[in-house]
Amino acid sequence: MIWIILATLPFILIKNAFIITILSLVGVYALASLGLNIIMGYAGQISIGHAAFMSIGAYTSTLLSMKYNVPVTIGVIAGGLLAFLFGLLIGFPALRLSGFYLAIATMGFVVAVEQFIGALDHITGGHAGLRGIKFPYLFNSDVEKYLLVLAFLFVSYVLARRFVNSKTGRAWMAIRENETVASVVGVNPAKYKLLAFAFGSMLAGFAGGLYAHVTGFIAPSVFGLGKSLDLLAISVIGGMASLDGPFYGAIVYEALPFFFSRTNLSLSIVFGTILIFVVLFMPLGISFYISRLRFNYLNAIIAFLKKARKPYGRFIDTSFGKIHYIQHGNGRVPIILLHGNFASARFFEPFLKMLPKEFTAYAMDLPNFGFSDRLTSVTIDKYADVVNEFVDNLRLERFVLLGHSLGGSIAMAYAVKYPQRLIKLVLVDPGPIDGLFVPDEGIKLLQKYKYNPDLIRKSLMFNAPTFDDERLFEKVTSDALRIPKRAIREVAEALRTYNYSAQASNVNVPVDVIFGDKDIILSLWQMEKTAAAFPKGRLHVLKDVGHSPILEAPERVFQIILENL
Amino acid sequence: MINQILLGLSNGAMYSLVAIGLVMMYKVSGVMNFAYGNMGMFVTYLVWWLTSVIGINLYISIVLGIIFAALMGISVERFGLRPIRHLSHGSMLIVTFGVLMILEGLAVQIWGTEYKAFPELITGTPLVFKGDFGIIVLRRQDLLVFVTLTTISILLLLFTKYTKFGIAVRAVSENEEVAGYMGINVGTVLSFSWAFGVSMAALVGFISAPKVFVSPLMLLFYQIQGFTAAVLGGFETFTGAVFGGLILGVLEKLVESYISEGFKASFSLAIIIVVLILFPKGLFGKTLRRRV
Repeated sequence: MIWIILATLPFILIKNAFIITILSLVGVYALASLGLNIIMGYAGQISIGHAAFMSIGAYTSTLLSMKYNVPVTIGVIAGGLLAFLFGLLIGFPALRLSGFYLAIATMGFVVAVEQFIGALDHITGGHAGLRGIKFPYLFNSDVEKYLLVLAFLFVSYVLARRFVNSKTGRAWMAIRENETVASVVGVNPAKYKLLAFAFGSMLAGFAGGLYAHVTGFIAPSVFGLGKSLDLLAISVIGGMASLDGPFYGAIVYEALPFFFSRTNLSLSIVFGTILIFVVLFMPLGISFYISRLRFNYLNAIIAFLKKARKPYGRFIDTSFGKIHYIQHGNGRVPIILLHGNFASARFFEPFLKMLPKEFTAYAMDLPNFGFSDRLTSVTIDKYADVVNEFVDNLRLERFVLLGHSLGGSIAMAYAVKYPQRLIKLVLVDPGPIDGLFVPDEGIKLLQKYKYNPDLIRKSLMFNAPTFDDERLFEKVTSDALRIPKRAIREVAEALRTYNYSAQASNVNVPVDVIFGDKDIILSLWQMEKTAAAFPKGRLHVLKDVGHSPILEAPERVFQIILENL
Repeated sequence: MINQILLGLSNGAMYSLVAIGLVMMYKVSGVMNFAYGNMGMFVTYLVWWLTSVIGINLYISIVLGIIFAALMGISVERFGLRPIRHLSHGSMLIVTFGVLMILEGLAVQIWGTEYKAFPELITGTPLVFKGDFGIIVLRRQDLLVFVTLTTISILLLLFTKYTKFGIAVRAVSENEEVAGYMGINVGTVLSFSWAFGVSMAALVGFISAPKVFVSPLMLLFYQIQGFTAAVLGGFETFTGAVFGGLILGVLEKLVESYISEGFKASFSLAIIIVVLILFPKGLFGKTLRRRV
């Protein structure tokens, strides 16, 4: 979405060519230092010759488009590829060794390239540089330049993100942390460092080509050691090992001259001071603070937009307020489904689709969850009373009760209070019989979920590792965003304060405890304890299933329910 | 030919001096000081300012300059590098880049970009030797460089071999942690290494200033050549630094006189690359085994 905003930006500012050019330059520097960030931030190699690769890209694309009338885009791509090759050439010897050799070699490289291009004056125009680089355009050259920069930036950003979040990125980070250890676990440091360096150099090559066309003037001295250090500072100030950092760094770099234009202070001093300050006092750079801001405040906007608003089931009135539920099937045996924490009745949708014909299922939103009404000072017992009133109002005599996770704890509480109404109790990865301990720190983190839909979705996905219909997670997440923040704490506290070990011996109905062995919340011994607490308790361990067998292995769950029904 | 080699040796001796300072800082503190050249440049500016603007005697200014250089080295190490010593090597390198940028900016800000003339430390007609081997011309300046290099090399050798503090320096460069356990004040040694290194940079600045003039970028090339010399020598030993510099100086002179002058930087880059491919530990280095 942010990219669309960036793409429409020039049309808003169309009268203001100067600002568009500045924005294009921000893009160019962001692109170059994105490459540097991959080399330095992710692979941990220090390069101070990054401007040399810009130089290569700039001269290649300029000469191609001036002498051979090659289209600009192709020229820029060619410049990037040439920079890639040079990256391999320089990186190969320097990266076989660890440490600072790359920094030295690249420092030599940037000076050598500057001298070399200056010396070849019949081709490159020598030290005086090339002026008036043409840019063929359709309607508005500044806007088109900006869009071209943005297109390259977008593609590079996506590429870089794919790299960083893949095996290659992990290898880079392993090398950064400790090269010897990385090589012990089977990463070839030389190969991956070289890849990072060449890829980063290629981005610098693109940036150089774009720079030439945006400004229309290049000279060897534009891409000297000073520019390399500026790029390094952009990377560090924006935040190393972050993909959005270069943008912030580039904005700072382009904005600084405006702030200091009146003070007559050399920018190199200002920038160097900021660089040292950032390294010493905020080593994670601007991007860290921005991401923290997003995490705490900005994501709340997304959360607000994503919140579910349209009920999809029926309501029933109880003394605890309205309860929202869905009904499915019309078999002879009623089955009540209780969902887990951060879930809702919708969590059972795929499960209900496979419902055997002998059942009628009722999946309810617990109070505070989904579209049911809010309830204050909740305990597990109180929830059990809610369930009781719910089934009374539905006029169900005897039924099967299935609880998942938090719902499992509630189902246990219900079974302890009203054992005579149960045909069977099914606990799918339930909270253990004697409570589930959640530390206070954990509760604080859980409360952050309220404003971070991504976190909820991810944690739901982690808890159902073999189920991969993302649309369901989206829907459940939008329901989960309706949970009030206070309830998150209360539910977590309720989970750690109950204990039914003693009363469970009075429950004389069959109890099936189902446990997925890849569960990351509960462990086997807790489930053994839970199953053993009930006289007719049995434990079923499902192999290669996570916390949510309901989603991951519904047919097995039904099979277990149908046994000795 | 012999004269060419002599000129090369004289240049090379300068590179050796640069490399000695770099190696000292690198060996002890583990940081490659990229602000090296600019630190020397800044001190040279200061001395130029003291002599030609304030009017203090050249030799007193030089002593003041060296003291200032030492203080600068100590403070950069103490306040810029030591706080993040155990965090990451990359960050320490970046701090030196920051220092480089600040010093360059300051020099431009205070003294401008035009070249300033620096007085010769030693003047006089070149010494000329005639014999059946031909004519050898030896400039006084070269003599000064050779004498400085020899003195410093010998002093350094005696210092690290026979004085208690010198042995402490070697111990710290070998293993900082263990040296600390043995009762060596690691902080002092770190400060010393930087004071020494930056003083060397200043010395190089004084000696080269009459030739290259005082300007913000005066030592950049020397710094790169110093790196090359140190890479050539293997970065771990002073012997390597001295001979690496001398070899580089001669090679460079030969390239300059028989091929072209415009490719000096490319040439030293080529040397770095060839050395890294063929002798990854330098010509004088030894293989190290590291524990994780």
